Amino acid sequence: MDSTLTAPSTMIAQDTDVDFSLVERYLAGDMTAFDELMLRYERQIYRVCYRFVENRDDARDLAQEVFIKAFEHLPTFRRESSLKTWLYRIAMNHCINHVKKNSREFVEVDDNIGSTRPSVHTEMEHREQREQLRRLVKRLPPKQKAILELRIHEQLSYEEIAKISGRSVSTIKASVFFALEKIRKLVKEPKGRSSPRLRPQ
Amino acid sequence: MFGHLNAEDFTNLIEHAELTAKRRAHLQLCTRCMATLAAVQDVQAQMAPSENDIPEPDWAEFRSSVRDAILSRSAQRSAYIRRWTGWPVRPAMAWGLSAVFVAGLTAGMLVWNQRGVEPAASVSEIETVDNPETDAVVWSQTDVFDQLAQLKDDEVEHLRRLLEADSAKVAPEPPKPPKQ
Repeated sequence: MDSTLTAPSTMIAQDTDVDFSLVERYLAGDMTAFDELMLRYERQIYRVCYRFVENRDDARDLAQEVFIKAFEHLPTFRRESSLKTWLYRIAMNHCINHVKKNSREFVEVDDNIGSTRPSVHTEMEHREQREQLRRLVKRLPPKQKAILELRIHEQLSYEEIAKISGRSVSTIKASVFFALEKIRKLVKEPKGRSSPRLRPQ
Repeated sequence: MFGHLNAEDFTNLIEHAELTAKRRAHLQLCTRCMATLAAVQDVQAQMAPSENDIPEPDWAEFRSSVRDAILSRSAQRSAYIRRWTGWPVRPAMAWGLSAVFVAGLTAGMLVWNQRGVEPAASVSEIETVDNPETDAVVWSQTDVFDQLAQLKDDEVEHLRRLLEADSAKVAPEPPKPPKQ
């Protein structure tokens, strides 16, 4: 099995121990533990939120809400999973709910997608392609999008994503495949215009 | 022969995980599965993580906002709890409980007094039961002695006759003289 599929168990165990001890300290009133916990997870949670809203201010607000919710419910954290998994689960649910509430955020792919205008700079071309893909990812159902983001951008293992979303590893793997397949079909979709260039680089 | 690769197989292939020999053999022969794999790998490759795309907030400010929000909510919660159980509410609670106690006491005394001045039941409450066997008199729940004290002359006479008749019925026979 490839190392990208499963995270090394010893590292996970060490991280979990550190997290649990920080949680204990925070619950005992030690505010330095709060800072340490924030430092460990603020970027990861913010990134997940950003992937959902694609806007710095909204992502910051969402991430702050996630942390407030998490710290308020920390006394009820049962330690059946790692703190990381627990935080990601809260973030994922919060973001999915946010997207559902503001469903107008599912904007149609804009007219520039599929432009065959030759690009002079390769970097710009890649950026444009990424932008196009990002817009296509937005059209995925929220849960499928969340799973894809956690795997591709956060590079969580399938086991971790399975724990976060409460599904089996097989389901998560299938979900990743179906999401990629859907994006591939969207790229091919004619829509009266030519499709964006998604050639191997 | 078996079918095409499933979604999980494709994901395992994208992640460079091992497939069973049969599956790998199928992949090498099946152009459809090959095409699907190539296309999906294409998409996945272009979705590679790009950290630079994400603008980051001011982390110190971010942290302090979260801390302030947690502390203010915690303070609000404890103030709410104090509002209903703490010292500010205790005099009011004492007054309220006193008022309830006094009202209850007054109501109890009123009820007690009303029961005390209630008129005594009349003789009509004495029900006679037409029981041919016993011809008994059934008294209501009112005080028997009060009732007797309030009987009129003719009622007293009637009652006396009834009692005499009744006692005559149940009176034991005089003992027979012993046989010599």
